[in-house]
Amino acid sequence: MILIPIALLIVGFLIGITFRPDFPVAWAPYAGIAALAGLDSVVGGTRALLDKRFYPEVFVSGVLINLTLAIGLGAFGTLINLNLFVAAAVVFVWRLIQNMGQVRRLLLSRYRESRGRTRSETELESKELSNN
Amino acid sequence: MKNPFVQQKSGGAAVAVISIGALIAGFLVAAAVGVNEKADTRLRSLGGETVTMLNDPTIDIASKYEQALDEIEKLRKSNSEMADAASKGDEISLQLNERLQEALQFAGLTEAEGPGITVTLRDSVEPVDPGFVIDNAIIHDQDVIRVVNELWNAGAEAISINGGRVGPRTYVRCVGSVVHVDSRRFASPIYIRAIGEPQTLYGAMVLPGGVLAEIQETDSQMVELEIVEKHRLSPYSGPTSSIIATVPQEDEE
Repeated sequence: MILIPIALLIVGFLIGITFRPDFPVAWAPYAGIAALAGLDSVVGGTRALLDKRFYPEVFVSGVLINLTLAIGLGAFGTLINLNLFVAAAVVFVWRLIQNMGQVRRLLLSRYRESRGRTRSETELESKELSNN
Repeated sequence: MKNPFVQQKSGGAAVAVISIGALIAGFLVAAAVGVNEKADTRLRSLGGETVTMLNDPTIDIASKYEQALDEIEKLRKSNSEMADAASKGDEISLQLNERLQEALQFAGLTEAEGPGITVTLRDSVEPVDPGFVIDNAIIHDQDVIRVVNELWNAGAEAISINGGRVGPRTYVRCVGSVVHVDSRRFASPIYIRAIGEPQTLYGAMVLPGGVLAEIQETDSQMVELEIVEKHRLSPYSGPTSSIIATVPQEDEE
């Protein structure tokens, strides 16, 4: 299940590399911050999904508003001559790492649970067999 | 009634939503990589020539060879013509005049007329963004030199820069805020006119990864190309005398 978003992430990357959207060079920092915001949302969404707290409207609004906010702040930064791209990048990367850690922990605990369950199930089955 | 949005989607639907997000995120990452790669290329000022050479599909030795054969044929013919003229005596001055005209034309000391293209280079008028090297928005001497070089390479037979004919000793140099061509000062826009096979010249100019492509990455408004049916270029007006260099007298032969 978790493999589908990862696969699509790679597919999206390959599409982008093949079609090479023709942006002006001046957009480079905006493209970078947009990419980080997208990754942050996806990892956050995955974490919420594993946590059984996933609400699509939270996810979609999160993607849109984080993206606009990051780009808007970056643009505002150029207005007041401060590099807010770095600030946004720091926040996104921080969140990314935290959520990655959560995803890893949730996946591991799930794996442990599933192993435990299969063992007890097989024990039950063997008991039933011996009863018969 | 329950709001259809505010409920926890589990399994398939949720994964689908995240997957779409992942697809977009992947695309954004690729776009960011692409834009930054592009920002790099313009900074490596020598890279473009290598790129041009690598992209050039017309490295064609066979046609060069044929051209050389033609040249030999022509020289042999003119040699025999000279010999003929020498034997006749009165035709020799005519022949000499013809040769002189040829030499003058080659040196850019005569007017030249013919089809070709005009390349216009302008400083960018786009507002300056952060992460944007201001140097890239300005037309430099090296841009002009490289365009001229590319035009010679594409078979141009006569070139002028803002009306000043490019002669054997023409130099292009950035001095302060202007570009010097043979000590004449020009600022943007710079018009480079070339006489030659128009389609070939045009093709050489629009080559992907070529000189102009590199400038256009900064701002496509900086470059303008126009095919001209008939140019008329004025002669080279700079000094032509030599003080140091002399023609060797080949008496030894």
